[in-house]
Amino acid sequence: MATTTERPDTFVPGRDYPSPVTHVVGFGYYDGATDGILKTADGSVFRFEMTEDETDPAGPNRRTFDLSVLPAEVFERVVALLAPYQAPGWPVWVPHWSFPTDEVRARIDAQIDRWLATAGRPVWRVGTESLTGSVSVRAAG
Amino acid sequence: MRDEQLKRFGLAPESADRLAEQAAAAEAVLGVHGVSVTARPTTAPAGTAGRSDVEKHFRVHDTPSRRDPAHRTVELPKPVTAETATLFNQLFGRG
Repeated sequence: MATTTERPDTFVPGRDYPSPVTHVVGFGYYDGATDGILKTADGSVFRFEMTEDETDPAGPNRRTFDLSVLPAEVFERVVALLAPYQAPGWPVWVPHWSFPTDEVRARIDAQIDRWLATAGRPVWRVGTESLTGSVSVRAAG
Repeated sequence: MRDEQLKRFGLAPESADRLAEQAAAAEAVLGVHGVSVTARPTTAPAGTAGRSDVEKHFRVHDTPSRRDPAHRTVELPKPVTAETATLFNQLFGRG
């Protein structure tokens, strides 16, 4: 169980430690990214999906995400696929899902679906107010 | 043309501080100082407002994502005051 206040290079079990996430591509957004892919400091790549959203009307939401391992090259491939249509922005990029034609959008959606399908079962469950902020992590399942 | 119905998830009034935090986060990511709503059909508990009613007070941006092509962002002024929060909550039928 991590007790460090230093940022690890990737996820480890522990509570309230600095997130290892360096880059996020959000495919969904609602007051924060809800799903997409992310990369950690050691270059590991994960698919993430929000599974819980604890709303506090007076403060930030506390969200839970399940993370599944993706092949490391998927992150750069997704960025390269989308970058011709808009410039990426980091650490969190939520592409504006608008393309020159429906055919282009369908092609991009299909390719991303194929890449996301290569993700395995969730390996980490992450609780956080921000994926690039402080995280609490435990094994999924 | 039928007015788009915007939904803001949750039924409780939101504080100015909460709205301000979320607006700042959205500005960094989406380029709009605002909060999320959706125009998609949903059965989740949510406050609802007609887009034209919201646009009498706040600018509404189309900010589609892959997950939600009907995602919209309601632009809020800086700073987000208690008066702004009250108006926002009233528009979405929350107190």
